[in-house]
Amino acid sequence: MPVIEVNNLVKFYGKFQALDGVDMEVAKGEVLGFIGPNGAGKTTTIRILLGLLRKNAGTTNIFGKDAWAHAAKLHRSMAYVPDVVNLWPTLTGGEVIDLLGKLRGGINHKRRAEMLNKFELDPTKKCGTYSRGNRQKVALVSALSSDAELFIFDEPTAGLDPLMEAVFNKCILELKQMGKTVLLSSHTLSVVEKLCDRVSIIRQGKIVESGTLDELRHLTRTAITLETVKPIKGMEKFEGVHDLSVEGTSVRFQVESDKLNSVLSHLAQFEFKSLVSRPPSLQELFIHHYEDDLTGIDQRKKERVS
Amino acid sequence: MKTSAFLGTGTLTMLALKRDKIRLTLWIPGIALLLGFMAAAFGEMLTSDQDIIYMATAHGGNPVMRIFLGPISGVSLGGFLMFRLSTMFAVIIAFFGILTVTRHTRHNEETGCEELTGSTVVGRHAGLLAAIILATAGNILLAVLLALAFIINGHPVDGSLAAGAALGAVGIAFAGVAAITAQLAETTRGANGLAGLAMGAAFLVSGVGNMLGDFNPATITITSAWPVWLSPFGWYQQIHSFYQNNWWVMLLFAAFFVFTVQAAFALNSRRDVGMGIIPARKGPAVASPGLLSPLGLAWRLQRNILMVWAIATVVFGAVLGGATTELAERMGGMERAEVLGDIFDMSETFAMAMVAILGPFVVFYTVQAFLRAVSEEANGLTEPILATAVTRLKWFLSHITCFVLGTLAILLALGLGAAVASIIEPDIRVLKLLEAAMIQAPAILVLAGLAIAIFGLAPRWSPTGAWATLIVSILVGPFFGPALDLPLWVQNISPFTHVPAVTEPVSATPIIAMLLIAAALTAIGLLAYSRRSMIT
Repeated sequence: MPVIEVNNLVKFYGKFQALDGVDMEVAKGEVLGFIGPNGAGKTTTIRILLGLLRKNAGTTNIFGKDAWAHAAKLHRSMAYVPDVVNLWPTLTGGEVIDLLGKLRGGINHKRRAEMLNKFELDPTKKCGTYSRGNRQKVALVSALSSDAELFIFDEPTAGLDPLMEAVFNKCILELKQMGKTVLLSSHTLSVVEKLCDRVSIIRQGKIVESGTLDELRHLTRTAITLETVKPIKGMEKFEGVHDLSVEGTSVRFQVESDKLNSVLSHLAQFEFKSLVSRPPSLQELFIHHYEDDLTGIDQRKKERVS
Repeated sequence: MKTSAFLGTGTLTMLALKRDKIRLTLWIPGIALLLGFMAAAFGEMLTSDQDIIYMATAHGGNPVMRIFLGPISGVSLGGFLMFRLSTMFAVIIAFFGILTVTRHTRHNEETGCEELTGSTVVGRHAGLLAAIILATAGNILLAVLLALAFIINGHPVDGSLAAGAALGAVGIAFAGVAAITAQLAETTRGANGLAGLAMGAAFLVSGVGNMLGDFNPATITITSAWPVWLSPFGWYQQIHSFYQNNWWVMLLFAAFFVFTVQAAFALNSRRDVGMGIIPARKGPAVASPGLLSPLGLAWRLQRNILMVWAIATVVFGAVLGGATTELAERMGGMERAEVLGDIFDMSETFAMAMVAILGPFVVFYTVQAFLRAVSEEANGLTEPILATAVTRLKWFLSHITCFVLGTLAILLALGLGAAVASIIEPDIRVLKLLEAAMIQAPAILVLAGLAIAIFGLAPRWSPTGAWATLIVSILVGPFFGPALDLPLWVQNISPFTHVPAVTEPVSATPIIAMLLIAAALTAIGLLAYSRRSMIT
């Protein structure tokens, strides 16, 4: 049984359709990266999974139970860090950590001390005086010192400095080793890339791609830089080659995966001197997904001009 | 003070004005319209001098009423209106002054907007001065409109101008107070709370001064006792508009305003942006066990409101209770007197009647505490709780428990405060005073239930709905309804109309009926809240 199971999830805010049939599945012990641009529906999906929002259609099961109907009971084994952390200005960080921990069903005091130390957080300060990053740390420490089975993080590192981001990454890897399930929403792609087993990309309320990083890379391009002995000719005739730049005996381009073989065979006749190939970063995957969006805009612009 | 500290004031004033466009166009003409309508309603009812003399003697001759109504100044419809209505308007206008200043000072710092504007070519006092200018200009405009409201109703021009100026001056005075409290407290809520406390104290001081004053039946005037000169509420009343039109009292307002504004600038120079003069202290690193439940959290968030109200109520009750014998004597040796149409002839009934007048105002606490709970959702603070193993029902019930018990506690405090009377006059039974206080609870709970139902069904209308139902209930209830000669069915809208009067034997029917209605409304609200999405 998957830990999270979402089928055909639909959500309207008034007339605006925020989610248009989202499907998602997270298995036990898996870390799923949930990425997409602002307004794509990440936070809405998460808030439905937490039973904070009602859905209009579809199923959202967590541990096999409906996320709305059994919200409170399910939350015993869930820990959540929201994208914008609001805290009670008159309570101290330490008090909030304990409060949320206790309401979740209990707090692991050893881990609490450990996390405070790791995140370098002063628990005696009033939440009203914390910076945004420190408020986020309060929520993170509280979540990470729980014995939950499922962790949901919504843009968890947005307010953290790179040092603290590294601490967070280590914590996620620890959760992974402990066999916990993690849903990590982000548009900081480097985070997702390092931490996640699988990635789901959401766009305009729909999951447009889902799979392991390797699976997704199959759909995309490889970036290649190479130098040859003889001057390179005839590259222009290939379909599926992008961002091509040829300067005598050196060439840089990106190639769609299914065209890789024929392009390299062609180039081999000029005798390789050096070759660097790089799998596409998530960033490139991401851009690929939104490219049609951009070209769409370009086209609309052109139409308007003509 | 260097002028560079005020650089950019003009721009910030325009910004504040732009932000407040809608707010100001609702508040300012709204207050003036309300005054105009109420003045017209009284004008239709009081058609002769005899009517005015009768009402003025009935209300002005009663020292308890004077606490809430101020002094009366001669036989004129305008003078009677200022007597009967002005304190309520003065409180509303003072709130308007306070909220306008804190909104453009401390609130800007809290949200970080001040930092953004402060990093541009703007002097450090510019924001504060802009807020003061906006509040002052707003109150001057309001004063003009209030004067117009009187003039349109056919009152003398000089008196109308004095009355408008008197009320506008109260708004400006409390804008000055808020300019100081905005420097002292670190949060908007804190700044509003401190300024509100100052307003409550000023109201009590002038009320006591009027209560201890002398009613002169020959001229239908009240000569107030000296405490009125200690309070801005006393000052505006001592202008005696439509009677003496003492314009020189405005000098007191001017001096007070200059003093408060200077003090605010001095305090502003001594602190960092975002900080208060009263520094935020550190707190415990670990939560006490009492906090670790939804009820514990609700209590923690609500206890300050409750404490302030409980203390204020005990003080108010004790002042009244302590004055009971004194007051009975001041009734001119009359054995029978009238409070809100109820005839009574014993000092016990008299003390109970005082409690019964004060009791309904406890609903202001109930609504304030309720809105404190509701603001949690708007501030995104129910989300972290509901993401734990806490149901909506449990979260909301925790807050409801706090403010329902808080309401009962404050009513009890009122009764106990008034029980000072029984120390002086052993004939007065404490239990009867407690009964007079607690009997108000069902009516207050009906309004609380209505607020809960609105929050569950239409959360966006929640604060407006809660205040609107409260104000309607007070306006058509026993405090204003009979005086305005409203039709009975209109008066019956207010739950307070159905509270058994102190002179009658307590009947169970209306009490049980109101409790049932309150419970039903609460259940509807809870059910709707459990089934709806979060609004933020």
